[in-house]
Amino acid sequence: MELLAFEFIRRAIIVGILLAAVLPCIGMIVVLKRLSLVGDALSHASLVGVTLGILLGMNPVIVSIVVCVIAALLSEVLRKYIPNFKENAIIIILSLSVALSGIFSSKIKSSVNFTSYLFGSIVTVTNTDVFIIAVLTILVLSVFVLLYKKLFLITLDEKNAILSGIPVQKINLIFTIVTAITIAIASKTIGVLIVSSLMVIPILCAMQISKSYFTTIINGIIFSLIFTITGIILSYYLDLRPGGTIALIAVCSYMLLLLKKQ
Amino acid sequence: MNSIIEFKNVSFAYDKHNKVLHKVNFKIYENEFVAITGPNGCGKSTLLKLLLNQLKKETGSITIMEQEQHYNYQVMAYVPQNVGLLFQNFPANVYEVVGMNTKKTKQQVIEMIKTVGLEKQIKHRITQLSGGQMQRVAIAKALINQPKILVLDEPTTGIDKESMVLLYELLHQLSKNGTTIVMVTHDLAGCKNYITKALCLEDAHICELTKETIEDELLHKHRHQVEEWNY
Repeated sequence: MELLAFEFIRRAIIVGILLAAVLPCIGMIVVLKRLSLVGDALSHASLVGVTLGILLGMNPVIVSIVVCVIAALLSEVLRKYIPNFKENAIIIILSLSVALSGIFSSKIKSSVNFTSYLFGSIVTVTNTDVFIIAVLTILVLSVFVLLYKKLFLITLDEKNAILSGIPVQKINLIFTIVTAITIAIASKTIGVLIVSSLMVIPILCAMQISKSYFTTIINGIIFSLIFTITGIILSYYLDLRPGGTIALIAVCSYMLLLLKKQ
Repeated sequence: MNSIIEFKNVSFAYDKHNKVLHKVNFKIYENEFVAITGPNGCGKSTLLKLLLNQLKKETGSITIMEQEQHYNYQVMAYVPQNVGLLFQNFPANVYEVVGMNTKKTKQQVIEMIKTVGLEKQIKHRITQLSGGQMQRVAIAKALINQPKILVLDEPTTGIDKESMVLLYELLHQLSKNGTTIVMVTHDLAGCKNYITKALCLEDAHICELTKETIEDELLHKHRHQVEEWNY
């Protein structure tokens, strides 16, 4: 494996493995809550943060975390106002994010940074990025393990979860904030346009073959790891963008699984 | 005998001109299997929401186990309507759905699943079950923490006659074993042999039907329907 001789590839694989472990955990809940588009909306919100950060001369990742959290909370508030059309709250956030990032990006002189956020730059991650993503992985996995049973019950039947004494609003808020932070950080490495596919598609693949909730999560992580590592290796040999290659492998795998099931 | 649930002069309205419940009084005793019935839009679900503390009554009092009502999940458990819709596409097996709601041991969870007759399906994904079996999973999930009262909203919606009978038999057995069952239903004819009494809701008032008077009510309803059809 000559490619492992390069440090940037080793870093890319480490970051890929960490994100591959984290994103399906978030994806499992958003898929089951029928809010799969939330990843898309928030990753576009992170783009607003990136453009705003570049314009203001501030750290784009930190600004995008703040913007993502605000967007996530705003979508929660909107969802309460339109309870029968919850998915429309996501579309509103998505439209707002595309509009704002379009306006802000038109004011940026160099578009190099902006493009790298759109499609990701997993092979250009620094040691600091690896550290930040490692901390994020520990945080998200801890929250997910601690809230595992409660998230299961809320996702299955939110009204009954409230009656069972589960602090549903508090847990939803924690989950929303964790999702926003994860998407903001993942967007920088694998790209705004690809992050939601790595969050949702591994879980959709896992749901085709798994017999329980637990194995769906484990299989989702395994699928995500396979897509990421294969994507990085193929993109190196075929000289392709890693983010796009990973997403393409994920979509093709899902199609194949669907065909096999038919 | 002390009542386990008591509604005393309970009134409720969504707006000034639409009184749903007017000075409703009834008592439910321990180990009873009670059906709450009535025509569409008569307020059955509203009554259930008041019992579950999801709505606030205007006047009167609701007491549960002699205490002014506060929904307590250790005393009362709820099985919602359309369980099939909730379970649709959810990738969990029977054991996970029942066991995730409790601190009980693995053996106790398995025993509960046996009680509802699903021991053979314990590792099956809930999406693979029939409507009646899904309803049983929801009942096992509700009962795992041993509540005194089990409240069900239209549990027979969308299930076949055979599963319906099995479900009524299970609820009847549970009430005999110490759980008070309160069930909202349209199917008074189907459950009449299993329930201890029925509470019939119409025009914001409630009337209590004993096993003896249920037949008269069904006959009256039948005649009314025939008249409507002839008209």
